[in-house]
Amino acid sequence: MNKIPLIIDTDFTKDDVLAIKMLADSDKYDIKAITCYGEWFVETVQLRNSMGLDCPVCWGAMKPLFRPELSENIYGNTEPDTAEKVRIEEKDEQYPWDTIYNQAAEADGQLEIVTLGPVTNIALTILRYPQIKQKIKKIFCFAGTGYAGNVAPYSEYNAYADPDALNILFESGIDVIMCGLDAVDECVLTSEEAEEIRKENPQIESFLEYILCEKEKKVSASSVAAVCCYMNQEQVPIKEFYVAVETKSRMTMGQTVVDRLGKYKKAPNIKVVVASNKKLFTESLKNITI
Amino acid sequence: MDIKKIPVIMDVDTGIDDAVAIMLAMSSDKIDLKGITVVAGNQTLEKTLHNTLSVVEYFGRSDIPVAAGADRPLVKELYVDPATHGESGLGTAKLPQPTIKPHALDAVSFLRETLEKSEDKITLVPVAPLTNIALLLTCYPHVKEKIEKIVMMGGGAFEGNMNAVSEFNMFVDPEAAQIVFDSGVDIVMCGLDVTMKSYTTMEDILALKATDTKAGDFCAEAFGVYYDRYVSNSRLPGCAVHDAVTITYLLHPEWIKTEKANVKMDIDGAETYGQTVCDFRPDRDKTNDNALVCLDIDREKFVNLLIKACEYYK
Repeated sequence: MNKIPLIIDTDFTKDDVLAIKMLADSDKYDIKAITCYGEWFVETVQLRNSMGLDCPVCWGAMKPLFRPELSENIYGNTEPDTAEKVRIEEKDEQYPWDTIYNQAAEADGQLEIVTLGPVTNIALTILRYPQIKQKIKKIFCFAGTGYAGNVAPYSEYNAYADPDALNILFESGIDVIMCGLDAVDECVLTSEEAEEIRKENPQIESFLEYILCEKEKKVSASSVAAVCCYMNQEQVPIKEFYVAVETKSRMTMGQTVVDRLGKYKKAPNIKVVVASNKKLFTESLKNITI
Repeated sequence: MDIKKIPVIMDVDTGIDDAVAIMLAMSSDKIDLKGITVVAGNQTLEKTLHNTLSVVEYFGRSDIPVAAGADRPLVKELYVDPATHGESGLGTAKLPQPTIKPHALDAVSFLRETLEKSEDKITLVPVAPLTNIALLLTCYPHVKEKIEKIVMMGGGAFEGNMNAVSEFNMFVDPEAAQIVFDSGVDIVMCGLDVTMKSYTTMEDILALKATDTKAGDFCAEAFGVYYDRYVSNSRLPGCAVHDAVTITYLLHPEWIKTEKANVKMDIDGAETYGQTVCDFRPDRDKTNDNALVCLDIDREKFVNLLIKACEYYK
């Protein structure tokens, strides 16, 4: 079986590590590059090395397209000097947009992209190389929400962090699957459920600790849940809708407006994962080998 | 005396006044025009590229590389202005079909490569929507250190032309303009405050024509409907030659009155979307100043410069 050529775009929130490991571990995918948003480039390089992957890590956008960095800084800080050193060691002069463009050309229409953070790098690729739209098979985005939000009443973080970028992607005509909060919000483990998984798969113990939400004593691993959906698309409910991204309103910035009833009378542009599959999530955690 | 020439790359959406700015730049022995990149704006990219190639060849400078760039703004739909610049983009002027071809690289790649390879810092002169420049600065931020400054036509501290507050180049691609103003590169903003004072009257146009050169003929032809539209629509006794002010600034900054400011592009306003918000307040945080805003010009000297430029093409 031919492997699927895949690029992973990450902002390296803490559960992204396990999500990326799941993709790298699967024999379904040939990972062509990991592209970074934000300041965790060095950690991403280290992760790539620890997995024995042979692919470039690209240092990408550091802030949203047209807006200042969000004040709530959920990113850590790599010392600029250290970061620069690793960057030079990488000898990687390529930016995400160039790498994605070149890989898309090489993959002859088969390239897929999974995004785990704000989609700024993807939007810049589309702006820089408009002709890429026909050359990407699919972009699977962990972003957005059809119902409730997390950082704002109706806005999910990755969409809210750079709504202009998500809007550019959604309007691009590329085959996009939006896997947002509707698809992952039930994929939260209680301490008991986490314990059960730990028993069956001691290997991932450290990760369960890592992503344990201390306050609520729950394991939240939403990008892992999203990647589970990506790896098992036939097992999750996906529907096509017209989806618009709010980019102006102060109150609803980043809302992904899913036109479920077809009120806008516009052709569907986005495939939306409309519900969680918790069983798939827990089974995946039990079976993953890393 | 060996004068060090100013290395320049222009970014244009040719356009009547773009053509005059290119003509002016090519006439000067103080400017080393390393290339011209083209973007959609006054007309579609197909037309602005065609016009730029025509202009370069017509004025005998087929050696200057012309690279095609973005065919639309970053976010907004393209808005073109045939009412001012005509269906062709060059008003009533008719230039021969160009035989030269655009450069093999796209505009952003051309800018990147030229800047990377250049030993001297290069001044960028965009007289068009800032789409190409924004993409360059965002996708290849390492080239900023090779940019001397950006001398641009666009915006207006106290004046708009698309509405009360927004100037055409800013109005067409406000998001790109925001990226450029926030880029950290030094900017000289030749906005409507100065360009609406840089006009040619009918008397001036006759003087350009009287040089009896292909440049003078071109100006007289191109300014036909363009002039009429200005005189009937605005308070000016002539037509503004906006884009030529940038090149004038490079050659004779002493003719132009400037003021330092912190300039930001508004992309959120219901009424002020596309406005260059220029903060001149004396008590502002001057460490954020990013631009010299041009406010006035010695118009007589400006017109004489255009006449001398035409004479160069004898």
